[in-house]
Amino acid sequence: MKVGLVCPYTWDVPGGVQAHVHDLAIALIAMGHEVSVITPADDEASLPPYIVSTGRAVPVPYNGAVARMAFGPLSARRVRRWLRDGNFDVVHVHEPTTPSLSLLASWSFDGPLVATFHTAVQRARTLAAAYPILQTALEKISARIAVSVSARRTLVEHLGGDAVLIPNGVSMAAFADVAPFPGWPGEGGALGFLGRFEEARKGLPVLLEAAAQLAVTRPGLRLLIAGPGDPDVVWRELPPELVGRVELLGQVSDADKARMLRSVDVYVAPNTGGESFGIVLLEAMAVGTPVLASDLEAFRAVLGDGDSGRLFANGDAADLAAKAGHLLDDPAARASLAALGRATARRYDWSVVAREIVRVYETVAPGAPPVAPGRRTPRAPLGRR
Amino acid sequence: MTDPPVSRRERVLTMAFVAGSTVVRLVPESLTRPVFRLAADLVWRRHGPSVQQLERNLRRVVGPSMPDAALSALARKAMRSYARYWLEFFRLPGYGPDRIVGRMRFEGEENIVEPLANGRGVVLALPHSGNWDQAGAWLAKIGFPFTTVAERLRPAALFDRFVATREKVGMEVLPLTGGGRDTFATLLKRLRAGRLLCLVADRDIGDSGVEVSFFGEVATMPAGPASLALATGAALMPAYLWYSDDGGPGGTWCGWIKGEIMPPPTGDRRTKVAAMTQELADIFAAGIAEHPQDWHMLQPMWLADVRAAATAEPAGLKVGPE
Repeated sequence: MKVGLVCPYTWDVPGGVQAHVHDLAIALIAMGHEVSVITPADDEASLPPYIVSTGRAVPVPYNGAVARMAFGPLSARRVRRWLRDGNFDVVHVHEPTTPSLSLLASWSFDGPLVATFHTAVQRARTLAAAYPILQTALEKISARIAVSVSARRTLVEHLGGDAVLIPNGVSMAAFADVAPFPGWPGEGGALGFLGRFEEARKGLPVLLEAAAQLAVTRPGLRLLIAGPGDPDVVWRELPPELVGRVELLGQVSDADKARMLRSVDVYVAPNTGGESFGIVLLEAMAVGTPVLASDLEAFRAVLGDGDSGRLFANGDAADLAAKAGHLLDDPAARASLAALGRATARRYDWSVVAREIVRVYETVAPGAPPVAPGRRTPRAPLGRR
Repeated sequence: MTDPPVSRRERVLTMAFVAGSTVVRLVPESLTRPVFRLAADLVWRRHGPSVQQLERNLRRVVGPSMPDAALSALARKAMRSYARYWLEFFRLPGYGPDRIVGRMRFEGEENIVEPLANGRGVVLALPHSGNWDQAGAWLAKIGFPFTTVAERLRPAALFDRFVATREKVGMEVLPLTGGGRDTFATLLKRLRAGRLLCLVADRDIGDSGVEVSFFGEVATMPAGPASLALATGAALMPAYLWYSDDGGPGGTWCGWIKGEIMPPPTGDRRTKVAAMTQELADIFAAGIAEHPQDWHMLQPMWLADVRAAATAEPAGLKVGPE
């Protein structure tokens, strides 16, 4: 069928929603569907052919992060043209509760409309203020998907109505067979952190405090940190025990992200809140690195309440240090978690998840032609850039 | 069970074996490694029937284009690899989890997790390569204890020692022969109970072999793994093991487990077993082709060689952990 995907955030900036839309598009194309994505983008020249840009976007603070979105008459006109030219069987908007292309598309499209809700919004004020505007869009949505229990609860509690739960996907193929960076993880133990490190809710300070405690008895312990942000923030707050033990990679490519996750003994997700899914946990599990995460509801769900990854008390550096210490000392437990983690991650492979999403499309657009038989599958474009 | 009386030769062999393994266990590995390597080189240089057979086997793997000198060098590496297996077999009970788990690089072990978690048995089939005893210890240590079978050796005292070594690292070992129907029944029972079974499956040591095309030539492989999986509904998965030398003293152990080999949707039992065993052979061949020096195959396994060997003199007393 012909599917139009709407991504609200700037394509060039790495983010969970962008990655989701990208991977979904690739998976749908691989299944033989016709896909077009509309999104704001800074660098239009290097976009793959299935992506239509509405131009640059402006930074908007949203849910504790800075999101770059497009909203206005010019964007509205471009969205309407894309809808008209696309002649879609189904339009699938992402995060339609933000003032964005997704909201514009919801207003303009008359046809089967599917929406995916990614965020667990903690401060309902943002939503309540926009409620009347959002309601006009929400009424038009034929089927709703939530990527997590907490995203679904946000929807139920603040906007009314329910949603189907379909988790985020992970591309197992991209995370199989990756090699660690030379010299990593090494003999002394290595912990990893990935995320926008100046954002408080990502929890880097909790990890640094725990690592400082561990460093006292572990002379070889090292930290590998990757993610966008100002490195000086890390160096300034670095506990003296950790001087010379932290490797800062900055923002990494998808390939290096996989390698980075493979290069540590334990991947730590110390996030203190605002996470609705935790895709990076699945990515760490997909490369076979044991995960130690704060006991946020979303993380507990992905880790099967601690079966396929360990949990520590949210915000508790001492607990994190103790649990990380146990894992570093027990290679058998790490290997076991690696096996369980990879088996778990495979259930979230995009090939599995995309099939569930297509089933939703089929319920809202029953008349749409399925994939034409014998149609050649186009080569999946590589990379987001 | 009534064992035939132990011959003098067997008694001497057992004593020599016990003495040797005790020495290997007590002397530091940094000293025994060069000795085993040297021994492997000496055996290779003598170029006896085993090494000649090894070369014939490897020739099928690498193809006719490899010059004889290169094949000979490969055989030398293979002999060193085999000697390394033996050295490690003796020292295995002394290796801690740090070594057994910490020096293992593995891909695909998650394949066995899902069936086992759902109460479905798994038959893991692998050729004689790398160090399967270490891999077994590793599997047991990371939470996947399993059952395996071993060819009954003469003398019995030696066999018991092999079994003891393996049970010490967490495997349940059943005798392939001598246990009679009991062994087979136990295997079925374990699989039906959703347990893991590991079988070394590149050499047909019984008479239940299935003919497969292996590196383009006919060989026989045991039907056991496919038959057991088919009879119990267990998942059949191939594995391969090899050595890598990039990880400091002693290097690392490596391996993979590939996804399930599905039974064909149609056909009778024999056709299905043949198809599954052929697929097993193809995946083994992929592993062997990638790491030929770690395939410990010093016996004839292709039909042409087996027939040639049968018309020649009978083989001497065989000692091996298979």
